[in-house]
Amino acid sequence: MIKHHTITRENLSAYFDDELNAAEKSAIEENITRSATMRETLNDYKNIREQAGSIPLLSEDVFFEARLFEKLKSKAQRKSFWAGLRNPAVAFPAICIALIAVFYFTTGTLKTVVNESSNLASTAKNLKPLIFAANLTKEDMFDFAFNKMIPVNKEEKQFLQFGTDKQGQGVIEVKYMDAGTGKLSYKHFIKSLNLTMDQTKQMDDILNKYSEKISEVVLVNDRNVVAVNSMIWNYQNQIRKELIKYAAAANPFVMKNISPKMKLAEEPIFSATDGDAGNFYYCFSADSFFTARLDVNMPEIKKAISAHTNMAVVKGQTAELPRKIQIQIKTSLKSTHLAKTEQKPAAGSMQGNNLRVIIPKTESSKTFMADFSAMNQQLDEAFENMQELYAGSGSGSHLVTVQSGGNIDGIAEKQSKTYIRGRGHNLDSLRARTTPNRQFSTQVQQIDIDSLMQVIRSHTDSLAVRNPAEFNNELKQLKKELMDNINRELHQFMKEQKKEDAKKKQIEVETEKVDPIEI
Amino acid sequence: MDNKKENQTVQSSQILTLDDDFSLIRSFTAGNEDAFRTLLKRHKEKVRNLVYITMGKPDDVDDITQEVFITVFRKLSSFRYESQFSTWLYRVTVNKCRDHIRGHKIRNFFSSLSPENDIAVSETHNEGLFEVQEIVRQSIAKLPEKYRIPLILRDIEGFDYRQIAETLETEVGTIKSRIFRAREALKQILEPRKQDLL
Repeated sequence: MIKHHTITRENLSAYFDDELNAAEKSAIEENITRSATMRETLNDYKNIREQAGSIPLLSEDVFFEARLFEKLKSKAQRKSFWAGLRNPAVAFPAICIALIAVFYFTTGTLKTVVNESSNLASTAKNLKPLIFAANLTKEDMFDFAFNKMIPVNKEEKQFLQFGTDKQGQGVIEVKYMDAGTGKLSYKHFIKSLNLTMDQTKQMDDILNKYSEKISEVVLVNDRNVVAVNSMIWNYQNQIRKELIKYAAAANPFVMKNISPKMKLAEEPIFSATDGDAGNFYYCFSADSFFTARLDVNMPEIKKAISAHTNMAVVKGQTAELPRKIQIQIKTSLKSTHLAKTEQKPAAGSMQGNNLRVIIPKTESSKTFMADFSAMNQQLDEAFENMQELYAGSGSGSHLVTVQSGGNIDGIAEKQSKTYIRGRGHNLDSLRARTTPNRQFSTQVQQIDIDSLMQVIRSHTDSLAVRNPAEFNNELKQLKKELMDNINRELHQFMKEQKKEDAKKKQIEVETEKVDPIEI
Repeated sequence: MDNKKENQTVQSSQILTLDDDFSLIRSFTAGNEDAFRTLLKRHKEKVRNLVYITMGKPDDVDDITQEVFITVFRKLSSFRYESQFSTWLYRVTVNKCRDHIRGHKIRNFFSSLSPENDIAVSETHNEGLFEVQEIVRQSIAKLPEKYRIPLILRDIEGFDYRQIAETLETEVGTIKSRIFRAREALKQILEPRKQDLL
């Protein structure tokens, strides 16, 4: 019954479409006459068709033909290239030759790349910014800028030393050495410039700013892999320049003496981002060297640094709190090549415990740098000049004599032992330079002790503000050493004078003793 | 006598139309690319709109229509002249639409978890809700593909059951049944909006 009913309604649909034969048509028309439901259904079909027929269609696309023929043309070109391969007689030998060639020339390479890639994928894991691994301080950053070294593992006394060779190629060396072996320390630098507390803080801010930037370009992991971006050299130059420029503005008098040839205050500080080397890193460990593209998530790093700093401030131990935050850095080793890189291949070699890596010269941003290689030497000279400056500042009640060109190494030695020892200057060497025939009387200069102490007081003013107790102790020590040195120098001078006098007297006596020549 | 003349005129007109497409195909097979351009101009808008109604949205119309005519261009030399060119052309079109519908179903399966996708669908659903023709278009789009295409070919394209069966490569009885079921399903979908349709 249901089937019959369905067939009847199906025929109603077909009747509506004029798809029934005469008999079926006659039968359905009979039903329609009797059934209001069927008439209603028929009306619904009619409405649907009318509405469907009036669905708005797409407007004509006049450019369709042009696009189609363009596509057909490009497909035809591709097809013609491969058309010959459709013929099995051509295709089979061609494929065989291609496969033989591929396996003959690249089997070794493929094997190496696959093996190395899988190894590298594991060695380059968990790379994190150096700032978190080595807990870089402002002293470390200063060492990096001026002494070109940065700690990788302080406990193991492992450092990265940056430099350039004669060909201008960058050289990175992994070295084992004691901290503070650099000639110029940050503390010494601040002292030499006689900066106030506020100025010192601004210097600190400059160094802290760059410690964050360095975190982007030096990455390390627990597998002794170090990844270095060539931007490191740019940052190094930039820190030096920014520090010196600030120093020149803060204390132009001292800086003029330190480096008379430099006109740093007038030079612009370039932006290190101008020479952005992208995400291309030189990665090396004790037994491997490779290049890789590493995506460093800087916003995440900055966020972590900020969180860390806030936590440290709350705990009141900004410098001491170790940075143990680990940030996963994505490693895209697909683009890793061992022999062929976008830039020239780098080379690594072991020398004893030290690893030396030579990085090809990269086109960095323009730098308008002074010759910083002579910086330490100039500072040495400046220190001598500083002593001369103090020595020649006016006259006073306590008159003492010192030799021209000499320096008060005892004071300086106390201020920076490493620095002075490095130069090998001390009173003994000074004495060795003085000749016994020098006319001391013409070279004696007068110095005012009070004036000298005033200069020293001014020089150590920043220390007095920072740490009065240490300052007082140091001042007492300096006074004592100064007086000892002066006394020693005076004693020596008097001794020399006595000897000279004695000599003169003896000559006079001998002259008197000589008998007149009888003619 | 007059009726005979009329029948002859109609027949010759039909033959002329058929022959017109056929002669163009022969001309194209002989190397005349312009013949294909003529075929294209004659049928492209029909194909575009069939794709549009079948797919239910304009997004893929251009791509699918291009694919249809690229296939026609390649396979026209193997056309067997057993049916009208339009029937063959529509068969190619319907098959291309089916391929895309299947692909779309697979993509939807993977992207169904995305909340953005849900938002996009609901926004589309709300668009033009008060347009009666749009309601009908959306309702047709909701029909299963096997019911939707015969109904479109019948009520929009005006094909008879035999042509539809040829296009879809199936039996006339099947087409009759599918069109009936399509109409019944459409009636149910449109039942809440029946007042708007009248």
